[in-house]
Amino acid sequence: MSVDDAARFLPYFLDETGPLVDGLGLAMVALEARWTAGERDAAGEQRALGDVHTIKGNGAMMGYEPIQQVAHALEDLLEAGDLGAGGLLVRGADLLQALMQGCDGGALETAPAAAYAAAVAARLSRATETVSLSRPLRLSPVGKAADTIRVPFQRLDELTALAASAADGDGTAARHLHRTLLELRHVSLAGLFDRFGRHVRELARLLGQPIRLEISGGDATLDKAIADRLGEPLLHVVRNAAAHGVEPPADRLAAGKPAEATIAITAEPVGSRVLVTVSDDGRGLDVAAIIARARRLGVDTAELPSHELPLLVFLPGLSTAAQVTPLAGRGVGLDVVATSIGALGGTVGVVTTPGQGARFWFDLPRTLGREAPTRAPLFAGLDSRMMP
Amino acid sequence: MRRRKILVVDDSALLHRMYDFMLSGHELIHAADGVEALERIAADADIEVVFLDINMPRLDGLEVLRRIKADPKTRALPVIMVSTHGEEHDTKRAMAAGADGYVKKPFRQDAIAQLIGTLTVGLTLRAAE
Repeated sequence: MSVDDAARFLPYFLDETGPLVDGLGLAMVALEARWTAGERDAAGEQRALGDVHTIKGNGAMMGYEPIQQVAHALEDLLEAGDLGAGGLLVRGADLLQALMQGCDGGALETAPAAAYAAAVAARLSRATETVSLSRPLRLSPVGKAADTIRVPFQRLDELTALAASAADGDGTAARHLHRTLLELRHVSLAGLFDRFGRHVRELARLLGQPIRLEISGGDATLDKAIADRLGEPLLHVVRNAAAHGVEPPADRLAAGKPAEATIAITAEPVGSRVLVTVSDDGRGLDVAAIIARARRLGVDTAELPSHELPLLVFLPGLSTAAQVTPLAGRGVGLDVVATSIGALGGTVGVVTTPGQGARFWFDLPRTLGREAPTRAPLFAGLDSRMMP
Repeated sequence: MRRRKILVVDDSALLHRMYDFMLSGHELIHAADGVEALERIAADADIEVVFLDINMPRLDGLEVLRRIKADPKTRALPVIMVSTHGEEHDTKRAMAAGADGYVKKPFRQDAIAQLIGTLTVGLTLRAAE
């Protein structure tokens, strides 16, 4: 079929393939969540495979090779079931989305598709390498191609000059070098926050509850090692807000709130630290229930000032969810969130107003320091005396 | 070329439109999946060629092919498997199971026109015996 003929079919292609690609975006977000939690989803994977296959065939017939390439890589990922590769599923779905828009405009970029296919191939060959018993396992990771950071060339230039003068044995240059290297490791939170938009949309759909996500401060930067490990605890808090914090639309309207709930994520640099906040306009924490549970666990709550009582929610065993749902992390409590943030050298906190909502925050260092991360106290006001 | 009755089987609506365009001189019967394909074949003895997508939900192309070739009434019906990139293994299995040919997406109008011509010559010769 010549290019002219393909153009004749473009409306049909967009009509059939567009919704498939849209649906795939949501499905891959949900599947990534399952895979990250260590679970397969056979039915969901089969459905996704069918859709990806159709996208691949349609793209091929239209002569859109990048679409065929990305869809083929997604098929490989879905079939391999490498649970650590969930992020690549979402990336592939996003790339298909972008390529579909390119079709409409008449120009398809080939480089991103080729790069994605290469990343998937690298990931899958690494996966089979560690699983296969017939080949000796390598002790060092093979080509961490996906774990890269982009560096402005000017910074590299500065580094080279610094390294040269550091060799002269002057302590100042070495300190400069160290500081510059530390800053090179910084990434912005924008990528992480962007993913949350899709997560929240999928959560809202699964819950049948309209939720709007507001994000600000995505350009705040912090060490990549911290940013990488911030995602899980942050996602857990966001899921909690959606699954437990937000009331049904009817209750919200009765309380004079808009039917659509709002969850806001912000990041605010404060000197050498960054404050990441998740707030919602839902029903707020049930502080009385939290106190009661804490007492049953043997915590002496009488000595706590009232504004610190909600912090009890971070103690192990304090989950007050009536049922553990897949959305709220299946029993992984806020204590794990607190431990994770503590391990990064940060602290956690929460305030709540009954009927109006709750605000969780993480106070994190922006740069990895030399001191070992602390375990206790994780949060102001509660110390180890009060741990059960 | 003589007008032929052709069954096209694919779960993509786009493909059916493309078949309509590419095979516009022929009478087309459309089936969206393997189950429908077998129903159409059972109901219409005049179908002369089948284009069969390898990978479909419900009943996949390989299984449809096996059933067509296993039935003495339909064994002689030419079946062309239609594959996409990455299905080379399935294509080989289909050929071993008696498929009469294959095309890979993206396929061009002249390629399938040529296939139809070659296949139906065989039918005409057989009918004349």
